[in-house]
Amino acid sequence: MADMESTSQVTPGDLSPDNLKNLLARKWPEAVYSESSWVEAAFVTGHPAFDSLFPATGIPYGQLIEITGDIASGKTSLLFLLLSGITRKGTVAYLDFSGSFFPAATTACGVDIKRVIVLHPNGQTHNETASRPTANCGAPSSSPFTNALRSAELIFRHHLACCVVFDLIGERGQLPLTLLHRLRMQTVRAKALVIFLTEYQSSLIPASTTSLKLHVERGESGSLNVSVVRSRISQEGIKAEVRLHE
Amino acid sequence: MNNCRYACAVIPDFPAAVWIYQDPMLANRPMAIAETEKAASPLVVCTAEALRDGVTTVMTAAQAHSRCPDLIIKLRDHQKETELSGLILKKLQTLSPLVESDTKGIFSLDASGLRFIYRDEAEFGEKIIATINTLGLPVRIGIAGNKFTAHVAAISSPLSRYTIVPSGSEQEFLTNLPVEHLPLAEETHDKLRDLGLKKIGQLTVFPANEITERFGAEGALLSQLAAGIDRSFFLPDTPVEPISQTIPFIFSIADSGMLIAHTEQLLADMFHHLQRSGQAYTTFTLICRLEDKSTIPFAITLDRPSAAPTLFIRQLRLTLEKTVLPSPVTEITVTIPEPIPLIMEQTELQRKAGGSVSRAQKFPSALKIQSSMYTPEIHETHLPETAFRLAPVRFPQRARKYEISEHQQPRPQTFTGHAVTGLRLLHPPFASKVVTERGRTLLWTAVKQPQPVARKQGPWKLSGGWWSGPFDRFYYEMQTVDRQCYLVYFDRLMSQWFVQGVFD
Repeated sequence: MADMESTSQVTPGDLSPDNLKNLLARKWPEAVYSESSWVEAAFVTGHPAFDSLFPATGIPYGQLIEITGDIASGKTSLLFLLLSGITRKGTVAYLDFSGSFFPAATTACGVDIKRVIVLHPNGQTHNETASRPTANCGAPSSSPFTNALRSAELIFRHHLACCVVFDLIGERGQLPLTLLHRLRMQTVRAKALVIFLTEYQSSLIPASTTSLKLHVERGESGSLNVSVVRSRISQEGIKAEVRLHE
Repeated sequence: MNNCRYACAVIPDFPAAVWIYQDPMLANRPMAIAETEKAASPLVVCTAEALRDGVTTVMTAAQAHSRCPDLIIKLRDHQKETELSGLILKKLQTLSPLVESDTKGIFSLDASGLRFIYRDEAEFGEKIIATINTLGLPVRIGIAGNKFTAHVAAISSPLSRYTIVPSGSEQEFLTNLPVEHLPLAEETHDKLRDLGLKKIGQLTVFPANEITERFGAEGALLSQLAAGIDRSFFLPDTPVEPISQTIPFIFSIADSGMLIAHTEQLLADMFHHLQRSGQAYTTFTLICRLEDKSTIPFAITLDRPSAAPTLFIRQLRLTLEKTVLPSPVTEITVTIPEPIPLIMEQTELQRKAGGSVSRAQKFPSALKIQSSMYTPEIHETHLPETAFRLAPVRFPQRARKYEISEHQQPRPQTFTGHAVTGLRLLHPPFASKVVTERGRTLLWTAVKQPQPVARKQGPWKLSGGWWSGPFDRFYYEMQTVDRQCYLVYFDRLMSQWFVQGVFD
């Protein structure tokens, strides 16, 4: 509270609940998600079991979310299910660090491949385009993580895509906190979505930067067990069973 | 196709018009303007009445007086010319948002996209004439697809009239006009006269490289202008006002990295607004308001104007490294005191980098990021690893918001089998081993340990490539007991097992 009083725009007379809520909504939209109007709009995946994990029946705009799981646990399948819903409305930028993105599998999951843009922050490709430059945004001698985060920020700033996927499978290290914070601000402003795909127990994403962390396990008969590990936009600990072939 | 349209307003004999504006009694009287008070000073401008009495600009003031005793000679007043130019500019800015002025009585107006305001270009021309006539000044108007043609159309028009050159017919309009209209050096005009070239259209029969070879640097410009092409920049005048933005923090910031991030964000927003008017800046001020109510200002200055926040942020980072803030920051204010136009070399560099200048000015970072974006397209479907290739993304000419209408097409059918869901290809496939012992199959996976296989599908035979690189493979899908599923193949040519993908 002392911090709030010290700002120049909020005087003690203005500390009404409505003023505080407006200020919070502007600076930290997730904090007042349940009552603010913009969360009514959300990325709907079309899978009721997954969408029901969120109060807005879909992932609210302006979020950074992390999908994690063991190898072959189904996290990529879940990602493609999300993208199949998102590409019905907009373009997705896929930052493929490992070069393992397989367009045929994406199409088979219902993703409109014409609305997918692929970037290789590491410069790894598997066909004759291997000599193509990486997404470096003009920054000399930057790390792949830095390049990727800056690229994502520019993508949102220029409305080139509504969702950016960071495929971080097999990557080690940690994403720079400052750039992540900037990306978060830009994501909220652009009402976009950032999805990080990571391996289980990797420390790539600092816990404070994402608003949702989903853990994926492969269930019986081809379904996926999705559980909310950490969330600011949903209830922690709840689970959903997502069937891949609905 | 270029859809830009420009209107050019030319006030004839502008230095004389300044005096007539101040003293309307001077109108319709023979008048000339001299640069200095000396009797030997040559005249710079003669009005139509003075020309009719035999006075020309090659005469000195004394010669002109002897030729026309009633001639009024005034000294040129550059300051008043600038003032009147500014006044006309403000008047014209009420007709079009973008107006360029050269302070010599020539004004270029952006006439693109004004169809919602004016019925047609004729009405726009009439409005310009009426606006300038209210100041008691004569004017000629030309409207065309580029600045040069619009200017030539204007000076070819009668007083208080307009000429409209339709888009695409610029070259046809210029064909029969004299070469004196071309903005070239006097030496080049002499050369053209020596060659017997009198009309602009005569220049178009020569190849551009020949004209460039003969006339040097001006040759390229000459051939372009003769073809009705003008690539000069349109630099409208915009009011110079300081721009300032403030961010109050709910939770005070003590980390300089966060401070820099917020400042960069603010600068990026302001930079975006400036670029719309082709402006840059050399300095900005960051004022940090601290918890103890004190303020600390930082002034960051560059050697040359820049429209990129990166350079300023580097300077700011260096400055903050040397500074210890006594208490956390509760608010920051970023002020750009004097936005200035981007210098020509910078816009030229951006143009060379690709894309039109206006787009490069507006979205320089967008151009950088777009050049590294690719989208998958089907290439050669024999092998999974070569089935797709990445092709450059074709963006629309104008950046569009991503919020577009819902797909009208039905949603693509989801594959009903297990085979391709969430498949990640490994590049290159790693060599593996598959062993069958006592009826149990073991697969060496990525962790380099044998895993018992619970289920197996296949094989599917895949062979071909005899014309380039032959391949002969048996593909399997193998699921281990811990439910991990892999795409595995046996290379018959190498007699080796490979794991090519993971169903994730």
